[in-house]
Amino acid sequence: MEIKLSARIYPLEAILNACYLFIDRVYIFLDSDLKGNQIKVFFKSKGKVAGKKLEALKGEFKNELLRCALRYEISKNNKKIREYIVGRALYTTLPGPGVVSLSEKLDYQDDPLGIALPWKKKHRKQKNARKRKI
Amino acid sequence: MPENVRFNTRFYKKKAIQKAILAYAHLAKFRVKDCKDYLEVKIENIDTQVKDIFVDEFNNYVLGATKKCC
Repeated sequence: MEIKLSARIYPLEAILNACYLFIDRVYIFLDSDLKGNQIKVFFKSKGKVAGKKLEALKGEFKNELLRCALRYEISKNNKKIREYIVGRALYTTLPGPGVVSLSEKLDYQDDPLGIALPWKKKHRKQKNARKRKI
Repeated sequence: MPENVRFNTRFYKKKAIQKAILAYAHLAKFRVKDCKDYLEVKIENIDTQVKDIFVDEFNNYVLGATKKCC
């Protein structure tokens, strides 16, 4: 059995995808005419398959081909936005320039925010300062 | 009798055909000829147990390998 497809309507990637989905059920062979405008898909049943069943498979293949062509078209149209989303997601995971420079300058024992200072000591200092002011 | 299969290079990749030949080398003898738009594969001494389905199975294998190559 042979199916003739127009190369203008169906992209090659879509045809290959659709064929790949059917290689477990039928034998498939691809060829084209001399000009390359028409793609021929040869179907051969695996084992004893009735003519009606093969005809049904042919219809199923055509539907699958349409689905693959649509998927291909959508992925082609969304390529830029997909790349942008992935690029943005990867960019946000990178450490910012400020973080890098801070970590490079500071030693692990340095405490610029005074976090390592015990609470009592910190408040004693503040109390003493107030007393001096009074 | 040898079997001739002509693979259109528009659909089938050379790498995929080589991969298929490697996979089926224990069942037959292969010769590949590079034509203009086709790769002609001559298959000889096919194992008698699988002779009926060999060429079709080989074609399907090449198609599957081509899809994976892309």
